[in-house]
Amino acid sequence: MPEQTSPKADPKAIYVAGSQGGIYPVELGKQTLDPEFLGKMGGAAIKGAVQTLHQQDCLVAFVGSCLASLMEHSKELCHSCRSVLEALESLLADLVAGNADAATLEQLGNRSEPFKYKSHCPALQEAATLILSALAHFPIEFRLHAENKFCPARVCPKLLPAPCHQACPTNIDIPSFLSLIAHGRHQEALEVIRQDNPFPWMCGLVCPRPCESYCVRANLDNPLNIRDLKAFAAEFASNHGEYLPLSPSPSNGRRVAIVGSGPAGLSAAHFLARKGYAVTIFEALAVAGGTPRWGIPSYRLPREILKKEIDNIRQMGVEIRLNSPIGKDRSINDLLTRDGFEAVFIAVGAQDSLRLPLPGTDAEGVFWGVEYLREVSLNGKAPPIKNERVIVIGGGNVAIDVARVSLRVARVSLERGATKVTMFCLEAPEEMPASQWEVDEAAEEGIEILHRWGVKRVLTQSGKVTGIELKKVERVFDERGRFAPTYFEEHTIVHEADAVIFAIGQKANLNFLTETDGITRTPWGFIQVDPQTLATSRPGVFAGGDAATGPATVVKGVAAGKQAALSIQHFLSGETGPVPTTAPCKRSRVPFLEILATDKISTRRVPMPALDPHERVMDFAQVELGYTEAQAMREAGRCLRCDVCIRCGTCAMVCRDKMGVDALHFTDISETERILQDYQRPQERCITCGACALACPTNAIDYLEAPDRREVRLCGTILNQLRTLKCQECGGLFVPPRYLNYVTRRSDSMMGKMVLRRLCPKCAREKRAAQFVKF
Amino acid sequence: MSQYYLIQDQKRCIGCLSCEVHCKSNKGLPLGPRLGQIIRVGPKMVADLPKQAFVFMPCFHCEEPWCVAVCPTGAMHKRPQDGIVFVEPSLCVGCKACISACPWGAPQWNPETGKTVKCDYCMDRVDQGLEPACVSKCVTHCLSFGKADKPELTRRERFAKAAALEVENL
Repeated sequence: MPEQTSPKADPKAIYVAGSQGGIYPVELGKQTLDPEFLGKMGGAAIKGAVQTLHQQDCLVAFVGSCLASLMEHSKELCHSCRSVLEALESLLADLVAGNADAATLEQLGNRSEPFKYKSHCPALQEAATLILSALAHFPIEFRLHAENKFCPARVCPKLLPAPCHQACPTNIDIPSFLSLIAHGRHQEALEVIRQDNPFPWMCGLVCPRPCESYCVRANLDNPLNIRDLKAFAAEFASNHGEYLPLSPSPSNGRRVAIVGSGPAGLSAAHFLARKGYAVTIFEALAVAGGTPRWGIPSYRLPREILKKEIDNIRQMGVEIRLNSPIGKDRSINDLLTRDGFEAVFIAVGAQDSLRLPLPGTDAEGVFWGVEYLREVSLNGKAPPIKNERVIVIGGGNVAIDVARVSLRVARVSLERGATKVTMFCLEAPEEMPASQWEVDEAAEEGIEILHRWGVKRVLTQSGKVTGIELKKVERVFDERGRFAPTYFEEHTIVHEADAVIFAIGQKANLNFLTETDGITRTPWGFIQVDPQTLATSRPGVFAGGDAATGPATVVKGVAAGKQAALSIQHFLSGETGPVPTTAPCKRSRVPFLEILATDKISTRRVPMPALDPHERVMDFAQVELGYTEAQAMREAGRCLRCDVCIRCGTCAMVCRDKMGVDALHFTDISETERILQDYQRPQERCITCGACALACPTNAIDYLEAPDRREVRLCGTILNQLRTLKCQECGGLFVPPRYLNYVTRRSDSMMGKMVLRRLCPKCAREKRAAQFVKF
Repeated sequence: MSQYYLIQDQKRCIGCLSCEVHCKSNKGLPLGPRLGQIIRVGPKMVADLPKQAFVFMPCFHCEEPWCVAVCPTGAMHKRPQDGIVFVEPSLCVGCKACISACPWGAPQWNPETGKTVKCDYCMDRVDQGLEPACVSKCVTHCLSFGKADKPELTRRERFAKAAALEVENL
């Protein structure tokens, strides 16, 4: 049995050996493991080893190894029992290798069942009890292996998603869609994205790219431009008329209400409609889309793009009722008790600005971030800033948006006036919460950002803003990294301005909740939910997105919607057991892109073409122009395919320690991660023996014996290519000179017996055999 | 040289390949590897008569094997007690160096396991007092196997000398 390791690990299960043992959740194991208790759990009296399994232990792999050792140690297994065990082991091997589906699990259960109480063969009974108890108590772990090709303990090498795939809140299978783009299969790329995120285009334009900060390629040069390639796939499909709505499942007649048509609400609607639920979205405003519609400026997210993706969801049968606020006439309680909805998902966002109780903030010329953006977006007109100098307070993405919008609004209304927009934020440049590229784009547009200043008061004269007094920041975060700014109160400056816009955070407006709804709020004024399942204090009511978490990002909203759909399905199905949570799912294994190593590593991140800063501030035209097809394919081709190569370094170990060739040199990038940076070395040293390819646990390395050459490829990247010598007898494949040199250096030279090697092994055998014949 | 000999009486061999079949089924080998192989030589005209011969080519279990020297992982080694040269599969990384190093082309590639496989005189059988699979099922009894202290030793030595000479002339 495999030994268990780390003491700091989090226990999750207890393994009891023996024909009547099994695997049980650790919570149950906290009771005494007496026969009565085990009997209740489906096991029986125990004799033998008891072992704790931890969060980082994969139960599927563990059960597989138990079966292997059962077969090894049970010498007296009869043929028929052995063949059943072999079949069970092969089903488990399929699960571990990612070759399984839901049917595999069913087979595993069905084939084990008959042997649970049949005690003629202790080994078989032990295997059956083990499998059945594990399946019964840890169904999610088995289902993730079968359906998602994902090992939650991250033990099974073939079921380990790429870092970007895990980093994406919506778990888009990033390497697969990138490779599809690299192969020119853009439509399929879009479909891969859409299985996990119904907003490839919107996220492709506005996502803060959490995936890219995990991109392994960043250790080579720069991360892949994952975000913009998503937008490319959607744009390409749309331009070719193929960005069509997905088909929903046949209706199951069960009704779900969603409050709010923002990313979270729409995403939940999408995933529920896909499963056949009848979804109605209640939207308070006259337009659907939530924050992306009225909070994200159209130069980042053109309205027709958002509309297109919302229309796709509408066409799946989702009803969006505009101008339908929840409140007096229709409370959450009414939806459930009066209107016939069986579950509700509240995703109303955080749409009110946080306000600072400072002197002068009620003066004319003071505005609040999201309200200001909403005004510009929905009414198409700006609040009256006709003057020249605008100050924006805040360091987040909303503050940047506000600054850039105010610049455009002022330009539009002043017709090339010389408006000056200045931003003040508490944080130093590296501490700013805003995305770096947003900051850069704002700077390009002439927005000045001054750091480490906090507002002391707004200066006014006869009720109008004349400027602002600022105090120097001492520190923003305390020793434990929490936001707790302190100031040098005496160190102040005064900055003149005609308008001041505060964009310092948002809060949720939950005034629509009534007593009878029975929904608890957090001390910070958001909806109290279970962070895993998004369940509120009222059964059947779920909440997510900014309304539950506080202001976050579009992609987190989409992720919350995805989870809400899972939780609601689980709730409505009446299933007991743990609620499933969103997890990465491998959508495809796309063939590698064949490319020379020099080309692979010399391709730098393709810059995103953008409008000239002087031109783009004149109106709200989209700033980023998007990749052309050639640019997109070039950029996508840079992907290192971390979905297949898990950077374990086994190949390098074989090459160095076993072969003594040392052609693969991985560089450590963290305690557990390494990356191949030196692509020159394999070309100089590799003898093309192919041992690395055989050692690779995920088949990331291809070793090819072509008639004229031998080749070693890592995820399609040609690491080394050697021409082979020809056999002097048959003219067929022999070995490359470098390989032959390795062989003779180790054999002939060591033994002092030279052999002339001009024949392939097959001809050598035949030629030499002929010489043993004397006719 | 191993303590055993495995020799073939070419005159009696009819090339029925029973030896190869039994070798393969005993080792459970897939398509491809042929550990002990019957090589047909001829037919050619000798004194106006067509002549053909079948040569059985197993591993010769050399005194100083090239394959053992070249193997970087120690998977290929010689049994100290009797000199049988064999592969330990768990150590083999599949670099095929032994296949290129052997002048006789004896080590074979098993595409199913990704490892080298070679004639080991069926040492599991030999240890039980049995003959190698090829010998036990040879239809014409042209193959014979035994300990090298038997009278056939001279013949075996002659064979070995021929082999050594052959190598020098390659």
